[in-house]
Amino acid sequence: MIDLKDLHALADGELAPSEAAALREAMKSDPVTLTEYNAILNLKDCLRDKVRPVPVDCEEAWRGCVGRLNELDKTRRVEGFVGRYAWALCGAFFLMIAFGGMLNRGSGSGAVQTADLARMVTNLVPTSRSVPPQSTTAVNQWAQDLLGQAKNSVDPARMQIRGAAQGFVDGRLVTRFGLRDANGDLALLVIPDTASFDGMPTVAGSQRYRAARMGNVNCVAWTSGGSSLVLFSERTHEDLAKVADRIRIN
Amino acid sequence: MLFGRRDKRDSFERQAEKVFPSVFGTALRLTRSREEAEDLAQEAIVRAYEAYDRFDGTNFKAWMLRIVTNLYINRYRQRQRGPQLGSLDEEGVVEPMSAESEVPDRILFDNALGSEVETALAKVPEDFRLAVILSDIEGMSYQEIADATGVPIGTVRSRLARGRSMLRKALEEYATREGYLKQGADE
Repeated sequence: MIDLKDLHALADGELAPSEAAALREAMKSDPVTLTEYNAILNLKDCLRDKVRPVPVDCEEAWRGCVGRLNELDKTRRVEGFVGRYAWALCGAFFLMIAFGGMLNRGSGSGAVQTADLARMVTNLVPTSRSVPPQSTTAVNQWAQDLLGQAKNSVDPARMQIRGAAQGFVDGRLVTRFGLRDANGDLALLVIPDTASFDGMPTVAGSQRYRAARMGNVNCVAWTSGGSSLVLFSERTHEDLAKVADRIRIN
Repeated sequence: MLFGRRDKRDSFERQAEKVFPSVFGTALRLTRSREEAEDLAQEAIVRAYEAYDRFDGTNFKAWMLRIVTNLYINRYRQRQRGPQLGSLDEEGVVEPMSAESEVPDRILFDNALGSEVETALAKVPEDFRLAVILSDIEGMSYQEIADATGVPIGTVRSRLARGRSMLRKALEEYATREGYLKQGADE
């Protein structure tokens, strides 16, 4: 009795030569087995001839594979680079941050934020260079020393310097003047070596001035002569801008 | 290092492009869904690329088909619902294909269209179909099929014999339905 599985193995060429020869010999005297063997061969031929290796177009699928391989390569490149130079990258970032911090601290920032203004007003502690508002002569002398000709820009007939103080806030040299004109008191901050104000909108009708509000007090800020000036008072921004027009730093 | 990686990619892509029709065709016949076949083939290509360093360099096509088959068995089969008919009586008695049949095989097979053979093949239970596909369409040896499907060679032999028997029955049904069987018998 011939095992049918051996017949399939013979048709597939999977039998050893000696086994194959013995089976072929046995089939000569067994027509039923021979018919079965031929049926197997016919089916194999049918599958080979009728079933195409690629039943449908697979170009698109292959392009998808290439795309995925590209992504895989890209990820590997990035991972390889980061893995190899992780310490160097971290060191470089650290140095950049440290250098930036030192630079910022050393030179001072060129921009003043709204929050900085509030600190400059509240944190400015009178120093030995402050003068009491009672002594007008002393104030004028102090301002003369401090600002040179700048004080002459304030018309004494229309505005009076009533006091002044100078000190450092957040590493910046800040000078505060107490002023008075016909409409009341004002405060003026002078911050040297600053060039711009961030986070403040411009005053309506005057692009030169920036408007802000500190507590219940309005203020306008502008730059003049390489310094930034901030004028505070309980007035509208437009009124403050008009007063600011009369102040000059030479 | 960079050039080595580039060379590896080029070498892999050259070989994979050649065998991709077989990979995709096998995936298609296994999943019977173009969408799933694309997914399976792509996954197999990516897996093969990742494991290319471990390829022994002998038979790339057989290696790729083994990955596709393993991936299909491990992943896609789990999603399928219902009992696996292919697992029934694997080692059972193999029925003869033609002993009790009066069908003239040549006429039956010559009249069968490619699409009908595909349909008949799709009706064969999965494990048996896989063995027939890998052997008769992809030309893999018993040992390669055994490696690819993770079963002993004896099981491969059994599955092939039963799978072909079932395929022939499906083709006979088609021939009877279409009238080829009677026509052929009359001749």
